[in-house]
Amino acid sequence: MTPETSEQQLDVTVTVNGRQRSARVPSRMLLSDFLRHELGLYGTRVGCEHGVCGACTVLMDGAPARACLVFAAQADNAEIRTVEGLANGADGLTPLQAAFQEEHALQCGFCTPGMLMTLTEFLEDNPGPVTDQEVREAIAGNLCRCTGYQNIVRAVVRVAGGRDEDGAAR
Amino acid sequence: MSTHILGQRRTSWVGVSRKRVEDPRLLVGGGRYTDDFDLPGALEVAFVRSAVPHARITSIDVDAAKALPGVHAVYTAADLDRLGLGELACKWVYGDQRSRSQPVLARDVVRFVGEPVAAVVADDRYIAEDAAELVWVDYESLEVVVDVAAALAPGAPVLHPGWGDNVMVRATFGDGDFATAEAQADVVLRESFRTHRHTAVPMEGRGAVAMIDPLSGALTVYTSNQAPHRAKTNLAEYLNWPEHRIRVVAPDVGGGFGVKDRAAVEEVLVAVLATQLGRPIKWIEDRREHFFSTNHARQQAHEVEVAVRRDGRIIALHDRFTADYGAYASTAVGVGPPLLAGEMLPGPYDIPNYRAELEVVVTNKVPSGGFRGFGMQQATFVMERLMDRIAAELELDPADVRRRNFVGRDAFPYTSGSGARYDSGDYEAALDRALALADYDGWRERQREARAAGRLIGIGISSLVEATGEGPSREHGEYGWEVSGYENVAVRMDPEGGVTIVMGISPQGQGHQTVFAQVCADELGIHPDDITVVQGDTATTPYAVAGAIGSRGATLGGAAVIGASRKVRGQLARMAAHMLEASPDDIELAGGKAFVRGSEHLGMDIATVASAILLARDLPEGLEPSLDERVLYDPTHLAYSFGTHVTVVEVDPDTGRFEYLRYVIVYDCGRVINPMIVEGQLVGGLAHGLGGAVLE
Repeated sequence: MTPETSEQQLDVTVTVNGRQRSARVPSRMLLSDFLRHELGLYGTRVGCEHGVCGACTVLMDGAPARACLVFAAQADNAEIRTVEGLANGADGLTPLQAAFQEEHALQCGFCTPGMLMTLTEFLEDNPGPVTDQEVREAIAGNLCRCTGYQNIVRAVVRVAGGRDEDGAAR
Repeated sequence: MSTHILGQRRTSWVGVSRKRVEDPRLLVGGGRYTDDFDLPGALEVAFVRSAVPHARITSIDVDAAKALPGVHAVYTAADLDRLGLGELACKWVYGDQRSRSQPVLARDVVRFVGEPVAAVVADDRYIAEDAAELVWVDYESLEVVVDVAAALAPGAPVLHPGWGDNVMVRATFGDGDFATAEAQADVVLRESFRTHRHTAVPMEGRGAVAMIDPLSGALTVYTSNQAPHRAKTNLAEYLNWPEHRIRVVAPDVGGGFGVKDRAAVEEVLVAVLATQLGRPIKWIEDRREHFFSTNHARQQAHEVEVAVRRDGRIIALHDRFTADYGAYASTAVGVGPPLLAGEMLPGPYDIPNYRAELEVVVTNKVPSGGFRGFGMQQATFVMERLMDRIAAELELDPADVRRRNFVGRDAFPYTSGSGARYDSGDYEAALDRALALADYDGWRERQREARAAGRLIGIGISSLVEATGEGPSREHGEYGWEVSGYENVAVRMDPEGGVTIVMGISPQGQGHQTVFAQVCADELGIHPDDITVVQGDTATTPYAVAGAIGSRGATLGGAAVIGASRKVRGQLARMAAHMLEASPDDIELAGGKAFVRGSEHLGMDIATVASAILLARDLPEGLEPSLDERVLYDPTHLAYSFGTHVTVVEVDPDTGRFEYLRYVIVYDCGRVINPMIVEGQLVGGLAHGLGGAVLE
């Protein structure tokens, strides 16, 4: 995908899932396109290119970021984690991913990587049991058109060790 | 999952919430949707779309766009003319319906914001969009028709020359005599109901990647689609390309919900470009263009009059309704949704005199088509609101009004006021169960107390019937739908006793690969982990065009899987009988073994039997060495599922903010294959409904 235009080309070096990658990119190439079509990491999905739906959520220097609203060049020297970097390799799924399967928290799977990235950071920041409401607020920026969210919330509460609104353990 | 019955082990997977086999791959980012296919040398398309709702095109200047470095072609209607290609045909033409095609690229007139006018092909989407901005279209604005009233007003601009007016088609349902019944009624109510324009918005938009396969020469199209076989047939017809040299692949699809049910104008154009430019061509819509090009749905207005007895019993119902359908009918389903709305309006009720009249009207909006429910939401909304209005008017309990009008449980098979033939149902049982689960009486009490304290709590009830298992092929001909309704499945066992199922239908998140293996496992006495379900590729799956629509996957796909599995079972039983010197009727298949009933310990692995058949050295007389069996299942009638929703909602009188205090769904969908997946579908569908109710 190297166009013959006079568009400015920039050198970027970015660490993705622990591995350093260097490339020359057009100045306006989105991080989502860079990850997907340049690095072949297709797990980060593009649902709106407006920053609304959350399907493109990655972790950039530890914080959730909309890859569709970040230029690849802005990720220079950043550490990016995508859904491909979550699983334990040969060991299989992470506890969050396993909980998603247990609770039927995905159907078409398109929103799932963005959900997982948002929730990974949420769980890392909130160790211990969480309430339904806390999870719903955490995923307020991730749209799902298949599940109706109920099972996603269940999966997160389950993996975090749930407690109900009064603080009692589930 | 194993139970011992009279000393015999029976294993049943139907009814088990088996975890989805699709999930591990999707959870680690291994899903592969249409945009994930990066073919070497591929070019990308961006469309120039009308930014005005109704205008004459006086000129299109593509020179500046073509001159931009990285641009390979800019197509307009003139190019399609040059190639002898026309408009895309509508495959469901009801009666004298006047919308029978849609322009692939607008020629002289644009009729909705979003209508494609030109297609730019470039090295990548960034350059294609740059070039699209350089395409200069001269529009001469025409008067805009914004709604049904404007469309039907005297002197309204006629959107399609030659039509004379803006009515796409008219239809009537039932032959009730309202006038006579009205005279006998205690009360006559006249109500207006409107359902707004709503659409599916799957998380993955539409898209297509088309190329000429270098090995086979086949026009190969990867596309986010609910019906790949139908798309193949659509493409063959439009391009005049031999269908046996077309392959359509639906890879992972990020939701469909009725808006990806055919090759639409953009998908066929992508295929045209691939054949003309000799390079792979990719088009992936962005969200903005999705909103004004992927079909809309559901916009209707109903003027209802109902004649009622004092006890709430309806003695006649007359509905005049219109559908604000946009500039064209969906090329896939025509005006099917408003037709189904008229047919299903009576719902679970026995309406002695039902009559409805429909006008489908063109307006300068995005064309309408299917969206989950396909007209039944509008029908249910109107009927259920009407029930509540009757209850309010007569000061009766809304639940009692429904009970008084339900089709009785002993009345099946039942022909409704529109002529729909319901196979079975017990509507009162569903209502009673939902009310009990929702603690209806308790909430009525709490509602009274709350109102006394100035709080607003509402209790909603919605009973419905849903037509599923779409549908008997011969009936499609009766109303002009040029699509068959059967499912087509082959079940194949290999020498190891493992099974491959190939199916015409394909999934967009429904869990087909999990549930159809469960069904087959029960028929063959093997484990579902030993069964692989293959779907989505027209080159490897049997031909069935209806696709994943009309709630037909489990019903028809499942039936075909059972039928084909039983044929394989018959082969195995005959071979096992031969090997065990017994009668085939005495052979059981369970737990991976074939044995004579009562002598399980003397049985053999099913794999041993399979291997013996396929080696074909020592076959019983007349047995072909085949474990590859196909069934084509065409239903004789639709299957009508049913249920009741009950909800309790509190609304803040100051802010209007609301909260669901309780939501109960009771639903009879027939035999549940995987409870977890069924619940997921119900909750997901509920989210669509609730979202629609509050304008998302």
